Amino acid sequence: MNPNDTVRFLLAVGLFPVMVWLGRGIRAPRGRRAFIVGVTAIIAGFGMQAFGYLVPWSEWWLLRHFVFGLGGFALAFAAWQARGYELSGEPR
Amino acid sequence: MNAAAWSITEDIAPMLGFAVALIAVLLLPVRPGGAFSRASKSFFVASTMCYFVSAGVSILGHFMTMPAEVTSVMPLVELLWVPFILFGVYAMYSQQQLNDAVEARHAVARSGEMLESVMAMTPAGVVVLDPDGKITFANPEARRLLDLADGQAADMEVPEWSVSLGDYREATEERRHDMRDLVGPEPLLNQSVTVGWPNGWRRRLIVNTTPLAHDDGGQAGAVAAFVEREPWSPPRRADASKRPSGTSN
Repeated sequence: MNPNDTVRFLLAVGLFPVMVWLGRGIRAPRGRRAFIVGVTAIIAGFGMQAFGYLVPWSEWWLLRHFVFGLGGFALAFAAWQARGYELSGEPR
Repeated sequence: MNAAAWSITEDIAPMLGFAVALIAVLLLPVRPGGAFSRASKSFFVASTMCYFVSAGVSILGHFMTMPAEVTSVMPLVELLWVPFILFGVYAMYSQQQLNDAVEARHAVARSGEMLESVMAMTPAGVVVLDPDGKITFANPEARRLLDLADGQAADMEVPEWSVSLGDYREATEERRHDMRDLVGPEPLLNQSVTVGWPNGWRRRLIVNTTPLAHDDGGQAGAVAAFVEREPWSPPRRADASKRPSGTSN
């Protein structure tokens, strides 16, 4: 158990509602959902790292990296949707 | 797959994801009126770079010995993702709020311009009165009917003319140098009003008013629209001897 990982996880969980609330600024609906998925995945990765020592499964750490990867792709999708919404000229 | 290959694979997964995120973030458009500013884009790039660098250092660690200072700082770099993405989203949110406020201001300005053009083109005189009956706005036709100079309405203290309710024959005795008789809680419909000038010149107007109220219900004035009851016209020359031949009544 690494105390730094626990602190990071708790900090991220505490700021999660703020991120979701501010995520309303992403006007593209799918982009907003993808942003929440991405943030959730990365915070889940923090949690998997903080409390992984409780899981008796050797591939747990591998799964954690893929969860981080999923978070990265979700944030990329959110950014792509936001870009399309910005360039589409739709009334905001 | 051996342990070393698995180890690289598990680092490649997040690195690939955040590489795509980095490209997507770099392609975010920064344009006037858009949601993304240079600040929000910079924070998004920084937050994505945190994981990009962390995964990169981890992959490099499989091929070379990384200094302990670098590997020890990596958890802090990952931690920076939280404030960076928070600042980025906050900057984007603030930019959109600012854009909405600017857009609302432009909409009000456009609405004002449209109202101003309608006021300029309407054949009726329209004035806005404050609770004391002083004119705070007058359209061109109202300026013509009330003989107001341009820009005079807003700062006019005591006009030359006086106003009395009713036709001039049965006009009330009390004549006012303002229009406070037209300001009241109830609207007026087809109210005859006589406007008289010191030289005896008179205009008879038909006035409709709509009261204006503050949010708390207090009297804020009124909007009065009026037309001239009997527009002045030059007298006809009804001289039958000068009529051309062949014409009849």
